[in-house]
Amino acid sequence: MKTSIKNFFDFEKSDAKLAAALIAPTFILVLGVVAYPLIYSFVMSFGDVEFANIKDYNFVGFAQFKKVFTDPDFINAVKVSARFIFSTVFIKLVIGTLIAVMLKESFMGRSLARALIIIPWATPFVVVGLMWKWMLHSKVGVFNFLLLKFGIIDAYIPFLSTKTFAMPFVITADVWQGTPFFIIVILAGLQTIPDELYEAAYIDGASRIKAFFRITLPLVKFPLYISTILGTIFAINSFDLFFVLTKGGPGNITTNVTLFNWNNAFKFYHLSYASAISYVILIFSMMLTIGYVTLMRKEK
Amino acid sequence: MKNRLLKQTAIDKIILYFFLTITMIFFLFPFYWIVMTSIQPKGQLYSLTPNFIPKDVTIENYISILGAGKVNIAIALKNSLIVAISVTVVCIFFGIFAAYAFARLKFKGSNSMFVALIFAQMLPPVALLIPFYLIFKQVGLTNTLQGLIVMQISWLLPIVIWILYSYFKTIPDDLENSARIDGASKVEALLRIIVPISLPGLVSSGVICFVFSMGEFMSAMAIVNVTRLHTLPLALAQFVTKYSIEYGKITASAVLAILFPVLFVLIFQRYIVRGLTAGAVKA
Repeated sequence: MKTSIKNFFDFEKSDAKLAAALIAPTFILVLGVVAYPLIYSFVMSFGDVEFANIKDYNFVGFAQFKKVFTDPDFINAVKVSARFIFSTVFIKLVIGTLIAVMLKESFMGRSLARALIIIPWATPFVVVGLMWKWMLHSKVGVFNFLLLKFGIIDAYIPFLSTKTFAMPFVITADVWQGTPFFIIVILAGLQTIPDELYEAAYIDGASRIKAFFRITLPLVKFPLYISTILGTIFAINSFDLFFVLTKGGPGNITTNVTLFNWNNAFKFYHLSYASAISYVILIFSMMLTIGYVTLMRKEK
Repeated sequence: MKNRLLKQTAIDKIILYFFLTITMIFFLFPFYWIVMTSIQPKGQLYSLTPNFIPKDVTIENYISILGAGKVNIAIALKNSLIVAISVTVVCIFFGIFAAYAFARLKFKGSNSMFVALIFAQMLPPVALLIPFYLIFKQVGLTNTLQGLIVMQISWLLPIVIWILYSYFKTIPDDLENSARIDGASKVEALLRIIVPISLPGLVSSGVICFVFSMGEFMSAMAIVNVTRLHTLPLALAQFVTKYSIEYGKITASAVLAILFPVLFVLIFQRYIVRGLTAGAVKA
């Protein structure tokens, strides 16, 4: 008996036992904490629970999901999210690549520039929102002041409460915060490209632009894919900036799916309906995650 | 001889510095602007011509947010640091063991468990908030910092494991084996050999974990609604819902809120770059 217990705890002989012991706390802390809520809201999404009648669960089948897909407010939120995701990821990819190429060049103060450019990434989104709200202030904002001074506008504009400008400026603030991550990832990819490749291309008479499209881009394909997928997942979940900058307005012009979901859960207390919305967002995110994991595997 | 296209000509240099200046202004001006705003007296903030260099410098905004006001930033800063440091320490501690198992032990289901962790981390936070709120209410974790800590660990631990995993993978087997020949157990070899060499990885994952934790807003808003437990993002968001928005105080609070993340990021810049690219570039 004694020896069998000793054998059980003899991690030296079995990798599997040692691994189980080392991973168990993580599994409890991560999957344990996440699994129960996932099941909870799954059950909830097939019921009719409101905050007011929280103890009173009636099974309603797919009714909440039907409601999600026919709700014009949800369809609006999907459109808002789509606009936001496409713009922000596309802009980050383009300027992220260009800035990364620039930061690969040698110049005075390069390491300082590379260090400073990470700071926006470390800035909490609520702070990012407040910074931009202040700069875009309708009466004393520095942005209005500069635009007027250079003659681009002839009267101050309340950007964040104007239909035309609200979304573009939420995107601007998000690009400001999120581009540094793209730059870091793409720059790391660029640094693995040997100079000899460019040398050979130039000897063959290639121009710099041709070299960029023929050598640089194909060789940073992997970082570009990864940052696109991760950037898309971040963008779906984007909430803080919308909450601080526009609260979804004017009207519902900047109410994205996450804010819409939040409002249904914590403002209107439609718990079952909000859970159904959650599951729609979740399934979409999971499809992107599958793409991410497949890509990582392939590269390995 | 180097090809002329590989060298920078004078014109290249001018173009490079021109775009570099624009880039740096875009990314750094907002910081300059909130610092300048935070050190100006109230009267000058709302003049129609903003001061790019302040005429008078004052610390009244900082004094008023740190004193006992409606929105007390000193308490929020303390709460944020308690949460962020606890989350980071727990994640690093358990992360080391899990990452070691995934990186260096062979066992059935290793791959699928690793993937399960990534999936857990990629779940949209908003999808978990209702159940988190209701469950936490039942077990008494709403309106506690412990609740915030538990929630954030479940989202940040996979990131820490991912980064440490990529570090552990690069350590040659020989180092571990030589310790094992000297009679050390696997856990001893991990603690004495692998952990010390992976210090950059620990720093990297620690700082990234800390930065994410300091910024967490939506989930905190869902489970904490008393002022005395507000973290910095919650306290800052309070300013917006008030009728009069006082930007002197907001910017002073914002400066305090970014102080620690920014300092850490600047000090440990190299490590962070390595950590952030762990999932994106082949090791």
